[in-house]
This record gives sequence, C-alpha cells and structure tokens, in this order.
Amino acid sequence: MAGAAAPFALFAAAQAAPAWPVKTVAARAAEALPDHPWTAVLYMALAFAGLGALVAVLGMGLIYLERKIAARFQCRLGPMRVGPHGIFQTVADTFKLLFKEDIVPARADKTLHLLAPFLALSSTALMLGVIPYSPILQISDVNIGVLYIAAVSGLGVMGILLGGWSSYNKWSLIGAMRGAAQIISYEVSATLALLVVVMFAGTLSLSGIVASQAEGWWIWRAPVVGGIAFLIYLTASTAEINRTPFDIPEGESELTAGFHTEYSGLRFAFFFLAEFINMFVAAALTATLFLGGWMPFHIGGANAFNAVMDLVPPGVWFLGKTAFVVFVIMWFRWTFPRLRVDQLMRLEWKLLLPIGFANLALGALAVLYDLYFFPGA
Amino acid sequence: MLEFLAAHKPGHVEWLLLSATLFAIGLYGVLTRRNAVGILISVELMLNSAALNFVVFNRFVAPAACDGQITAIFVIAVAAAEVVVGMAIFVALFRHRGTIDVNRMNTMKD
Amino acid sequence: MMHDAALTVLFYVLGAGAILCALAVVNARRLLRAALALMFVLLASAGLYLLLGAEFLAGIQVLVYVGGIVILIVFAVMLTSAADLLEDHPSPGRMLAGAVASISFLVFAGGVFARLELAAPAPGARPPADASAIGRRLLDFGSEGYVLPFELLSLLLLAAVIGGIAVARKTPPRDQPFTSGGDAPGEVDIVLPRSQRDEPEEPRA
Repeated sequence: MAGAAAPFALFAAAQAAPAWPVKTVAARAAEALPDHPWTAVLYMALAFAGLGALVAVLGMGLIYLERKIAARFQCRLGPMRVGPHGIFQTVADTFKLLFKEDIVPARADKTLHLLAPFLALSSTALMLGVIPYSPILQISDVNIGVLYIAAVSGLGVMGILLGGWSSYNKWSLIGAMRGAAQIISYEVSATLALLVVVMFAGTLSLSGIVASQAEGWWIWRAPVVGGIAFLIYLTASTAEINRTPFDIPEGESELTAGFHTEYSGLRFAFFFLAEFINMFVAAALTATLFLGGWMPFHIGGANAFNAVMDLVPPGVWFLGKTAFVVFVIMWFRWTFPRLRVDQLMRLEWKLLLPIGFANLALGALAVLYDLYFFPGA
Repeated sequence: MLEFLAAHKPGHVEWLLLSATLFAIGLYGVLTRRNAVGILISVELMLNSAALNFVVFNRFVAPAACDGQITAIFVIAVAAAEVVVGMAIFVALFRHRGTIDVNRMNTMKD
Repeated sequence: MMHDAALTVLFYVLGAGAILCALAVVNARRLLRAALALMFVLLASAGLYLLLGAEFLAGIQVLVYVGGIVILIVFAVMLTSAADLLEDHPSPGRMLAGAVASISFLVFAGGVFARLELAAPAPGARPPADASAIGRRLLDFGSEGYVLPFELLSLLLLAAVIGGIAVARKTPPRDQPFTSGGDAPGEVDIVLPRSQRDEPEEPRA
C-alpha cells in the first residue's frame, strides 16, 4: 500500500501545524478509504455537490451584489421588485436565461461553440477545490497549490478564444484575441507577485501559506515588498478576469459584447457565471496569499491581542477578507475608465513587469537576510 | 475485479509503449501535414512523448532521483522557445507570401 | 490494492484518451481543432505525470504547455488565417509514407521494449514528495547539479523572445528608425478569416 500510495500523495497531503490542524475533505476520504470505502465515496460526493452548490450560490449572490453596489454608486436603488430588496432578482433572471432559445449562428463551428463555455466554467470551478476556506473546510490541499492555481487559471483563456473564434462574428473574434492577449500578458505579472509570497512562506501549498501567516499577514510582515506584490497581484488579477478598467475583450461600446456576443440562453449563463466565479476566486486568492486567508489578524508575540482575535472563527475571517476584496474590485468599475488596447499592453509590459521583477529581487534579498517581521517564527 | 485490476498494474513496457505510440502518431503528422503550423503541432506531440519517456524512465529506473523530471522540464522549456521562434517565422512568412504551405516554400530567392 | 486498481484504470483511460486525441491532432482537417486536440493530449499527459508521481512536472506541463504553447499555436492559426482553411487530405503516397515510417518506428520500439530489462530500483525508493528536490538539483553547482544547463536555458528563452519579436514585427519603411512606434494604436491589427473580411479577395501571386 505504502509504495502504491505515492501517486496519490497529491490528494492526501495535509499540513500539520500544531495550533491550526488542517484537515481537508480529501484527507478525510483517504483516511476512510481502507476500512470504509463508501464513507470515502460519500465524502467526495459531498465535496463535489458542495462545489456545484457553491458555483450556483456564489454566481447568483455576486451578480445581485454587483447590481446593488453599482446602483449605490449611481444613487439608484437597483433591483427592488422581486422579493424584499430584490434579492430574488437573479433567481428570476436565471430562470429567464434557462428558458431562452439557444441560438447557434448558422456558419459557426458547432462543436467548438458548444464546448467553449464549458471550458471556461470548468477551469474556474477547478480552482474552487483548492482554496482553503477554513482549517476544516478545504476540498484538497494539493502540495503544488500555487502552481496549480497559475496553471488552471490559464486554461480559461482557451474557452474565451474558442468561443470567440467559433461564433463566426467579427466582434467575437476581436474580443477573443484581445482577451487572450490580455490574459496571457497579465498572467506573467500575477505569477511574479505570487512568487514573492511563495518565497516568504517557503511552500507552494495554499494551506501552508496560510499557516505561515500565523505571526502576521504577508502584506505587512514582508515590509513594502508584500504591499507592492499585493497591489501588482490585485491589478493583474483584475485584468485576468476582464473586470472593468481592463474589460476591452467585451467592451460594450466597441465590440457589442466581445467574445460572447453570439451566445444566448444557458451557454451565455455559463460564460457569465464563469466571470463572476473568477472574481470570487481572484478575491479569495488575494485574501489567502496576502491577507492571511482564514488566519485571524495576529501580531507575532502579542499573545493577548491574538487570543482576542481568535474569538472570531477562521471561516468568518476568510469570508470577510474575500468580501472586502470583491468590493474593491467592484469599486474599480465605477472609478476607472476603460483602458485602450495599447495602454493596456503598455501598463503590463512597461510598468507592472519591471516593477514585478525588481520587487521579486528585493523580496529575495529580504528572505535571504531575514529583513522581515518575526523571521524566526 | 479489484484483484485483477491491481494485478495488471502497468509496468515499464506499457508505459514506454504508450509514449512510443504518441511519438509515432506525431511522426505521421510531421510527414503528412502540409501546413507549417500543422507540422509544428505534430512536433509538439513528439516532444511531449519524449518528455513522457524521460519521466517513465525516472519512475522505473531511479525513483529516488529526479533527473528524468528535470530533463522533462528542459524539454518543455525548449519546446516553448521553439514555438515562439516558429510562430514568428510563420507569421512573417504569411505576411510576406500569403501562404504557409510547405510545398510552396521551395524557393530560396524572393 | 485500491490504489493499484485505480492506477491501472486511470492509466488505461488516460492513455487511450491521449492516443485518440493524438490521432485527432494529425487527422483533423481544421487546424484549430488540431490545436484543441493537442491541448487535450497535453492535459492527459499531465494526468499521466501525476500517476508517475511527478506532480511538479504536471503543474509545469499545464502552465507552460497548455496555458502558453497551445494558446500561442491558436494565435498563430488565427493570425495566418489558416483557421477557416479546410485542409485537403494528404495525398495517398504521403499517407502511405507516413504510415510506414511511424508503424516501423513503433514495431522497432516495441521490439526494443520487449527485450528491455530494467534494473530493479532499490526497495522503498520513493520519488521526492515536493518540488524542493527538483529546485535543489536545478541550482546545484556540483557535478550532479544542473545549474549550467538551467542558465543556458534561460539564455535560450531570452534569445527566442528577442528573435521572435525581431522576426515577426513589421519592417518599418527605409527612412524611419527601427525603434519607432510599436504600440501606437494604429498598429494593432488582426487578420480576420478570409470570409469575414470586407475587401474583395486580392489575387495572390
């Protein structure tokens, strides 16, 4: 058994931190497998059902939030009719989308047209499985966590490219090309910012990174370097999820709706959902890497203060931080005007990338000479 | 059923045959494609199977070391460099001559 | 035993998937579909790496190959407007030559593999659990280390980037310096598929 278990170590890796024992759903399943195989199956079924429910609930909740926040910024009320304060508006919209006619353009490449939204959504849903929501709630802590995130987020580009190309529409194609160019450019900066945190934490596992912030979050514990990496990551991931200052792939005033112009009904809903889940994932990762994930606000050594902070359960900390970053990303939309294609590329290649490299080098020095807070911990 | 499956765990011959098959398919593609991008795609297939071969030998000859994996990483990086240059050449060629059919690239002048 | 059984099933499922997609890569008449099939082959290979215990490599495979190289290939297919081109099937002679070459390679390789006897690895030898072992070897200065090839590789990638830009950029007119422009808005252009362009098809020389 021990020898054969090697390939599966990926699914069972659990970080053993004394104060915060992390136990993932996959670890529980692996534990139950030899004696109670059906319990293991039940765990995994629960995990998948939970993922599906999370996708649906998150999608609807975030769309409602987006509309309400947008309304607040514009001194409107937003949706008010369906349910109290319009909370059932997105549910109604979902049903409307489900019953809409599913149109495929006459000269479209039908297979690819069908496949593209699934690709976009599944690459996003795959990332939800490794995010540490709380010490007891994480589906699988893959030991190459950060690499996994960087790799899987790149898969979504294929959905956009194929969706745009297969629609047989100029605007779709231009939107898809812009989207792909933008995403693969900003991925570089996002990865450079991730690497800074990986260097400080000394591990690729997401749970390990959260555990490494028990003395303080990396945004301030790594002086200046952490803050710059945070800003770069926030900017780059906003660009990667095509949110507003960077929404040129689907800029309404230029390209009707960009790569999903020709989509309707359920498959439009898939693209739409993928976009909002992407926003959640970006926010959750920003929170996990720079703001401590589920780790309460700790200051190394100040034990009394830390004990007070521990009264709030970890899951609430995670939710609060993620909600804050989501709000900031939505805030961007009503603050910055859309960039032009060339401005977008200049921002990445002439500004973010050099700063990212310099920041990485500085971070390496800080790690080497222990120039950060509480290095012994 | 479980015993049967467990007893037929793939050994090195099965793994090597898999990568050799992928390589052979890539070879077929290189020899039959006429579009330059198509040829490059087939070359990628062959490179990938070579990397797989390295990892298989790593697993079955010296599992404690990671030389095979490192070589595979080098293969992937070289493939990336190759694609960058190849694609640039094809785009330039297309802009210049309007085709990337390798059968029509038989002239050195022009 | 459960693990062994799962390993067997996953190996044959992923292997068959990879081979089927590889066949699609070389036979698809639309190049974009070939690129898509290539993506699935590479994803299946990443899964096979996981089975072999090479997790870091699987991550790199998806990150670089699927997220980078395949996207680049799709871009090239679109930029050379080969996307809406329906490739002719190759001539029978070519197909025969290709089939003979690849099948004879396969037979030869199979013959070698059947005779191959690998020295049994030391009992209890396990692949290193995380990426740090690979990282240490890559940056090791000793005779076992790979620091020189690693640095050479970065040089190669740098050269490839510069070469790619130099080859693919538009040649400026004679009287303008080479460094002009580059990101002015007018220079961003996309080659639409032939059927979607507005201007009439110009005859090609």
